[in-house]
Amino acid sequence: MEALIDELKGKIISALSLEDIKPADIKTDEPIFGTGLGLDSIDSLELVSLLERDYGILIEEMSVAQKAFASVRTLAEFVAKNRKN
Amino acid sequence: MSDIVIKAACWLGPQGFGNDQTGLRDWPTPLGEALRRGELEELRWSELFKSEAQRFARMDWLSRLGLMAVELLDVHFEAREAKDLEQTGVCVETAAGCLTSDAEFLRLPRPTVFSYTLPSTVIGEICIRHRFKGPMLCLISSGNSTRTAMDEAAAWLRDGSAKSCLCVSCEAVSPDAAALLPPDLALENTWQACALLLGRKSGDPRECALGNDTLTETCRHLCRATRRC
Repeated sequence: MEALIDELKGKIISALSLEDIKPADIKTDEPIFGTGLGLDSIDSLELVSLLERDYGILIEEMSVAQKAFASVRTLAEFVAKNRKN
Repeated sequence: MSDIVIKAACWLGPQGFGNDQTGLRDWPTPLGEALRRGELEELRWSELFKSEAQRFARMDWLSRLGLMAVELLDVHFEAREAKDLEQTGVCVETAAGCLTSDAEFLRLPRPTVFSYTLPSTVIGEICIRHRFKGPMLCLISSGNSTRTAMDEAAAWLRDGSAKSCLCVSCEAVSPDAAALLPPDLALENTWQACALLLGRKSGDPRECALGNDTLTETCRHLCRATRRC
């Protein structure tokens, strides 16, 4: 799980062009949105797109996304459980 | 146009950067060599400015250059009253528009790239940063021999739609997207940006009269010949 957490942090930084942010700056158990990362609604779409592109996970319901994106740890657990590639 | 004057001007491109007060300066090496090769990713906000620019690295290059041009004017908009900002218009002209983002989106569709597949997005980024709420317009120009942005801005100033207006010319064509440019569109540089602040004559020593040159030519002329209005 820790390896997937690190992988996801790297992908978030890369996909969202978070210049000057390192994986260690992203707190594993803190909310991804509404924190110091300064992410917006377009970013949430980008992350949904990332999950589909890199892990074959299609999120179609807002409630699912809200739970999955609660933190990097919940996202990693979600990916581990639902990934198709 | 004698009642409308240029309050500030700036230019940045492969050959250098500057405004009507500083004059044009060369890029430091090795950055300059990279920029002349069109490697825009080497150009960071902190290279030119001490201020912060949130989300700069996440914008497309049309927006980044437009934002840089407005900052390079060295006009302290943040010190202006809210009512002045509400009456500041922005008119952008561009020949290639968002071709680079269009090409990138075709290659790999992504939400963050989609946001920039409108050439007018640069206006939004400028207005968000500076809280401008005046009239806004994005013009797709033919690449040369046009003064449309300045004409529109002057019209806004005359009819009272705005009390000051930014005219921005911006091109940001990546090497990949350059192959998609129409053959008859001869851009002098695949990337460059310039900006003018227009307003009514007030006696400010920085003011210059408008001439008959294009927006780009006017900016470059004023930056090369500092204070020779």
